[in-house]
Amino acid sequence: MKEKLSELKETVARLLKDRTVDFFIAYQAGHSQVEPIPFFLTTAEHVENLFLNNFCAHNLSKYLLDYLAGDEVVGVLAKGCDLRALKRLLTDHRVERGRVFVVGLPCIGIYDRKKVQEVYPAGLVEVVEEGEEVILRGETGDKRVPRKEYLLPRCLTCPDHNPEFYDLLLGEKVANGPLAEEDYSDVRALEEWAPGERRRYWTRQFERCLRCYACRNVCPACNCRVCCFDVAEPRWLGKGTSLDEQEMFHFTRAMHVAGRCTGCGECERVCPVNIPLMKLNKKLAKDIGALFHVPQAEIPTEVEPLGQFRLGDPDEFN
Amino acid sequence: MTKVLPQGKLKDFLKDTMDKYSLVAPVREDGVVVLKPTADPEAVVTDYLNTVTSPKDFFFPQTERMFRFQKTEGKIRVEETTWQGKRVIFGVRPCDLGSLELIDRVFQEGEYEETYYLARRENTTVVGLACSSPGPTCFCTTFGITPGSPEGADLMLYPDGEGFVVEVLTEKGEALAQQTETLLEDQDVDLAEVKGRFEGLKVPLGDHLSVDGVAAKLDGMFEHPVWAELSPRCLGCGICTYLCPTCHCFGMTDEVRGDQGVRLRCWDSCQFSDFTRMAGGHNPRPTKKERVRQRFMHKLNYYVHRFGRYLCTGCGRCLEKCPVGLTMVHVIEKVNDSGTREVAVNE
Amino acid sequence: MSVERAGTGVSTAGWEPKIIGFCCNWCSYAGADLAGTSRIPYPCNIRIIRVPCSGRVNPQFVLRAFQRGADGVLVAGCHPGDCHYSTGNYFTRRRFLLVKRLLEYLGIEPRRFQVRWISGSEGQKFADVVAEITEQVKALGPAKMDKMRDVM
Repeated sequence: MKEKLSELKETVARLLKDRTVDFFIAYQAGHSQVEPIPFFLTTAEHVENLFLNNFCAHNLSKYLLDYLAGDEVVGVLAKGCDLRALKRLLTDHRVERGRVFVVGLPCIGIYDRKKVQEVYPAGLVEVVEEGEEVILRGETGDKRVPRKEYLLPRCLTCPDHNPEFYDLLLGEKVANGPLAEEDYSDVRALEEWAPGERRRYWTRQFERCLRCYACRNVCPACNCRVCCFDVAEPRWLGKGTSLDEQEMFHFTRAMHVAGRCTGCGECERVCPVNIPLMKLNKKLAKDIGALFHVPQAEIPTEVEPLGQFRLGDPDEFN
Repeated sequence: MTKVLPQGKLKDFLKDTMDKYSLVAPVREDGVVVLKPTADPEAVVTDYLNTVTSPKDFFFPQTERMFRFQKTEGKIRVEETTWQGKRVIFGVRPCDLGSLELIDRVFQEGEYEETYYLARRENTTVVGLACSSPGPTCFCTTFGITPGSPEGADLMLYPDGEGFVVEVLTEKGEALAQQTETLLEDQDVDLAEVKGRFEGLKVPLGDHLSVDGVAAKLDGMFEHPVWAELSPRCLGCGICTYLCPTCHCFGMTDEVRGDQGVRLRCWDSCQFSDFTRMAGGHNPRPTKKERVRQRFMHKLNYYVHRFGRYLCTGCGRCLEKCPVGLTMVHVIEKVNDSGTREVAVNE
Repeated sequence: MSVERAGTGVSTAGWEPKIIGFCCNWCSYAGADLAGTSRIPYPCNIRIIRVPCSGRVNPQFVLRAFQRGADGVLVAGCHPGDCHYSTGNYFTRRRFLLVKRLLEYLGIEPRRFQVRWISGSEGQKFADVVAEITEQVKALGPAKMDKMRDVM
């Protein structure tokens, strides 16, 4: 991905100079190689600080919600998964297509910072891809590891290595095709447990929850104008953090994105206390696939699965 | 002679502690190390850079039940809740020890004393644990704290060879040392030498980051463009404030059901959009710019003016956990680098 | 951590389950009414909350009911095709197929939460359903273990 940096710089500089976009959202270097951070460019001079590598995980299109009130045209760099998130915002009529200029970025996988940091807590210089393996090149030497094991979970089953649509594509399209089939094995494993064990498992997870709302704020499906957790009346959720409020939060969040979740897993990635939020999202996605025949790969659908029905839906309530 | 706790007796130390105190200690859970009440010494770990959550949770809990109230026959009965017990918090790193002193000032100094906080503070014995290998996110030395600073601890442990060199700092620490007396060996170790070794440890990030003059510089930077430049990437979540060992903002709320209820004091975060939203709908901090500015001005300027110290101890949690790298280090660097001459003077 | 857990020492002596029934105004509530006027006996463990349509029942209502002391929850609506608003219960069906599975996934015993179609003419069915659920929940015992610690 790094090799596309110079093309990105040229492109963004041009877009800003000829006023195709009013500003552009991409990445800049963060505290270390594994932590690139979002970057808002307002002039062509900023392109010198652009950064690109295989750790650019953030979905930048969520930031479009911050600019609804104005009339700027916002340029945004989007990988396949980010584009799906943008499609979510477009489908929900939250963002106007005409106000977004999409620079598509073909992508064969983003590495999971947490997993890489277990091998390289500090001093990683770069990641070099070699077929099925990657070389983690650091200040204290190289480490060769299987590529698959260090990718973000979403990248393993990614159906869109190339963004579905764009105004401009960086470089050539890459060969598509997920590295693994989504078999929901982690969800199935949990379903096998006894109810009491599952209860203890989720209790432990929810107990750790800080209610920092990072999972909600990063989620492209959480795009309501006013979130039900932010209103005092009706009081869907108390301010207090008891175990029941934490569970209510997670249950509600999961239901509100049911059939709308694009499966990007950003919620889980940003959670500071490792709550396996995707195990909730995937459970719903799996059931929606099985019950209503809407596979995850088709979401966002024009009408969301819970906003419609079929006369022949399964019925077990007689 | 210096007291030493052999590595092999650590579990017994925790067990003996539990005879008289409830224990809060670092526990590894689903891949993260959290501070949490535990009754199992076997679950306690010492191989962490720092815990994800900070010890402030146990003095200034996320939800404090202040009192209950009940309406009976036209009268309201109020029942205050008081915190009771004797607690030991084990394994607190020097940066977090320092943070307790900073929050103490907020809740202790001035006209009002915060009794809920102080009750917990008085009844908790803090066992510090010096850092043998500061990590890539640590910058305690920026704020005058070192990997061996015991300030804030009642009893300090310095990992040394096959055990922990013990330093007793307060009466509470002395009481705990007596409770675990049989496990502590007197050895011919030079405490000052051990401490010196920890104090001299390199903290790569902190050693190169200076806050000298940042507070004064910020006096003139309220309207500086740096805030508009930094804030767009903020997610508006509460990770930084909730994990921060020094953040201490809260809100109060009544939870009422029928004719009874409780008053709760809950953490709040200046990064949330509704933090300053008034009843009438007006919000004096309407965008991320004002909210991000507030967080850093509070830590690097307002608090300094009130208490003479920076409200940060360089624990590195925001570096580790902020999903968009809007961290204390980044902001200090930005402030250091920004020119103030071209900025209009603010009233 | 911010959440503290309390003990759940519960005695079941003399215990009767509390069951919350969300009944749609047009069918199931009328069904309950018919059970009453026809003098069909059914357990008094159910507390009925009348809703305009089973589609009104927000999944949060169900979880909250459990959290605030319900041992079982019943959502009852018109049979598919019979909805007073034509299609409300079709949405209910989709939603609660998921909710039922999600609650089970979270470790809540599935028999504690049930959805049934009960028409205005099915007084007997209403009584039977309530009797059945009451019996099942009685066998499961108090949901105290399921309940989570409350701020109160």
